[in-house]
Amino acid sequence: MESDSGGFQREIELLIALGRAGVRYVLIGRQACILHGLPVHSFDYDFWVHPDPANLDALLREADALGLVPSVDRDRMRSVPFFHLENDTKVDVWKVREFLLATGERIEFDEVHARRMDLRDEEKGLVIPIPAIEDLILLKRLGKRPKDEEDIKGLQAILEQRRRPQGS
Amino acid sequence: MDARTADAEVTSFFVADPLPPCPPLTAEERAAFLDNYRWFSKFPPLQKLRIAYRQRQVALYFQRLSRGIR
Repeated sequence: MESDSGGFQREIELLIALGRAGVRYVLIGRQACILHGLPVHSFDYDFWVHPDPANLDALLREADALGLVPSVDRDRMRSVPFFHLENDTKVDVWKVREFLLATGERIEFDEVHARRMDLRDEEKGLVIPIPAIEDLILLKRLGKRPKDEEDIKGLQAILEQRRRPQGS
Repeated sequence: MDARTADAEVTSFFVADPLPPCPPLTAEERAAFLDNYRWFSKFPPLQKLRIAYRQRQVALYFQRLSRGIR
């Protein structure tokens, strides 16, 4: 795979493995923005995973097979909403059923997962689940950094472009 | 490390290091580097280059995949 994936096989292997293992997650953050067509860059990966223990076990099994080490031990993992998986790839893992915006609005995993888009590379057997662009905009509202505001503007522009009738 | 010091370090590191195939970071890539400085800084120089190059390749690949949903 090295030759046809441009030397980034570990990241692709992880995504392929998660798909094959049926892990319920969506790739969020800037990598999802890139997959929606936003010209940005990121060095890490943000996963939102369903916190069901069996689902988490499946994620950790696949991560372990690729040498990714959790930032917290298994006992502590039960009580924290967030941890990292790291080697020379860095994955931030959010394991919550829902996020709550400052407005009181809830963003629920099950709904986001049901509306997700699966990006595929059939040749590699790769499926990358990402939130619908409307959900990704909502998730970006959780961050309060200037770059989140920039990403929201960019995603809204892409959304408007997609909604415009073709040829207009 | 404050952002200005980190920015100076990454600029000098990536511009000065002659090892191919990673040309100097773009502004976007530099910002991504700074976001993950604590994790990234623990690696030796050659590995830093490999990581930076790999993430650039991932971004290019993801950009190609994104064309499928437009």
